[in-house]
Amino acid sequence: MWTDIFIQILSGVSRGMILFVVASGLTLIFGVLRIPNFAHGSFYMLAAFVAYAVTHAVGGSNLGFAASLLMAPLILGVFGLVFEFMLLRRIAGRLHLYQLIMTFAMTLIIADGIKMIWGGAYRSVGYPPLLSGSVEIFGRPFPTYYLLVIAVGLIIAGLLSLLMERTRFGRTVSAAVVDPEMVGALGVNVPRLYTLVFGLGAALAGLGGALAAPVGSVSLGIGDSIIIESFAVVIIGGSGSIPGALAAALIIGVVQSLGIMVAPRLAIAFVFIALCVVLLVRPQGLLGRRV
Amino acid sequence: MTSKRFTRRGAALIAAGVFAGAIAIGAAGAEEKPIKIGLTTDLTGIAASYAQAQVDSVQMAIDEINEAGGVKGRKFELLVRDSKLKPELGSSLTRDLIVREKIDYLIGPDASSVGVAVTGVAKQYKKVVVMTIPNTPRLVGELFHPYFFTIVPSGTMLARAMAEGIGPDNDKIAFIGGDYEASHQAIKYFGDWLAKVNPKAEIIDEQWPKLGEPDFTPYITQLMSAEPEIVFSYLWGADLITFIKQAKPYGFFEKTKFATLLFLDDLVALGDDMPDGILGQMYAPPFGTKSEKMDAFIKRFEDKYGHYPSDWAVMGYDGMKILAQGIANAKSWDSDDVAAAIQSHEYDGLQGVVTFRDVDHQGNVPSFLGTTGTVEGLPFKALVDIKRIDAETVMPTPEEILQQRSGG
Repeated sequence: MWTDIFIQILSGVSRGMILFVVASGLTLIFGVLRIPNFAHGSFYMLAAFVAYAVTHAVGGSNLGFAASLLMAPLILGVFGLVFEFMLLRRIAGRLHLYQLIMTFAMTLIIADGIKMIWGGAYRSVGYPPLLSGSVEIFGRPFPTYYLLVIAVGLIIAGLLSLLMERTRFGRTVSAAVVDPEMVGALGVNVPRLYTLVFGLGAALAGLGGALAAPVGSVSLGIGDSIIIESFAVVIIGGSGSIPGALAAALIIGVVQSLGIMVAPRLAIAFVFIALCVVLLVRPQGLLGRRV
Repeated sequence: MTSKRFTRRGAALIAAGVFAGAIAIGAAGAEEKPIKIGLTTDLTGIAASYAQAQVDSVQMAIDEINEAGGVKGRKFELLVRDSKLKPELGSSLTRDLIVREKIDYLIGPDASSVGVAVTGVAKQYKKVVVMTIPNTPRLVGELFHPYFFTIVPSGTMLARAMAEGIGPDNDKIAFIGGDYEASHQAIKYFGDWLAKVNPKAEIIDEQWPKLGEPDFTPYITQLMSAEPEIVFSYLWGADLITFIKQAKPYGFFEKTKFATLLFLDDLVALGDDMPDGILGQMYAPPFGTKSEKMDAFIKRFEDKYGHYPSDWAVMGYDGMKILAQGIANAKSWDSDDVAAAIQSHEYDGLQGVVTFRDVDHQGNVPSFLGTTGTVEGLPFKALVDIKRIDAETVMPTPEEILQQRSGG
């Protein structure tokens, strides 16, 4: 019984880690740039297709998987940079509505682009051979791949925290959140800073998509549920906060995992229940600043 | 005066000539005017790849008929509309095809929900419709009308066939299926038939993940701790792929038998990642029927579209050929005559002879149960030990149909 629950929690943590990697990108974009990036789930979906293409091009080996883990964030990062530089920058400072419409338009463009390149069929990326089995935890099999996901999530959380708190880039970004004009007056190229942050956010969605590809199917529509959960993470964690996003993603992952054991028919509502509870107790999110 | 009379006579002659000419041209025009076939299907959404196979195979059948000179001197023309998995859109596009594009006959949509919408419009405008993918039992039940035909094994038939296949050998059965109508119907029909084939059997656990669930892990552990002899799955498409990939490392398939609805698209997508020994239920897999006709079809399809045809392609192709044969055999172009002709003739198709019952116009089409494994000559895992379940063993009786139709 307790072993079951432990294994369940562990799989919830692994699911939460993928969510964290994706949502950390969204929380940067939303918290710093104030852009409600509706296309974030589509970035994730596109990355899964890129991972599929790369893995197949290399031949479905361990190397193919490693290459996909590298290429997907890279390609999505560049995609994000171009999107911000060419389009989003043009409407900076205007109503949020314009940004919402433009990012929403991007979701449609990405979906159609995927259809043009890969067609409408669903696809699958295999686990890398090295990680396709399972390890025994308290006598129960647990997928080895999930351990990798958890490790990658922790590494990303560590690196992002270091980046935001210990580097000049991170401090400048934090300052730009509070007062972009002042930061600009001090000689920082704020638009370029924004482009970089957007690119980094998109790259994180890319990494999330490549990490998730072997765990599920690669198909049109996989971005739909992750975008809702990612926004929930941003709100629960407090917008812009990386540790907040980590805590929120893990809460959502574990609540879903355990919730299904207790009340499977309510599964669809767990994210929203968690969201409501947190908002009632801390309207600014777990680790968010009071605004 | 003379000249005036002449003119009048001349004018009358010319008018008569023009009139006669117009009739002649009109008649010739009617002779050459193509027979328009309307196809409303979901080219957008989770079932888009099924719809694409349908469009391709219907087009292939039409091309073959046209190359052979058409039907009664007329060629076919296909008009395709995208209903985007939305029933309301399916209705209005089909209505538009009939009213504005003046299509003559309809061929089957994709999703069952759109199928329900399309059959309603077909009934309203008295248009013959041959369904090649939708299979909700409601189509032959309360929504039935004389212009409707289907060559898809209905949900009832599939669920009963599954009970026939796995019921006798297993007493403890668990269920997992997406939380939507077809899935709830499947477990109901399955359970009813199970009571007949093995009264000792019981359904010990039911799991209802949402459609498009990205994480099946909790359901997998729940199913495993229920310790069933076999799990009956009504997951399909991308959901089935996600489930299989997530269940595999937990040792799920070593611990319990697994029987599932399976489409050719799933086999192709998973490739070598498809575990061996899964019991798969398929609609109309090309490899399930060995015949010269089927082999030739597979080759033609591969040559034309560059990939192996799916279940949907088999049904789309047969559906179009059945419609064309009905038109060819009918006394007139009229819907009533074409429906009567489809009804009264048998069709020798890819999977054998198809006839339609009077009571519900359900074609007596088979379904297939087999075990996943490697098949020589196919680049993906397919089914071995295939058992063909003929329609006659699992079709609802006419009395059952009439009872359902009267709301019983």
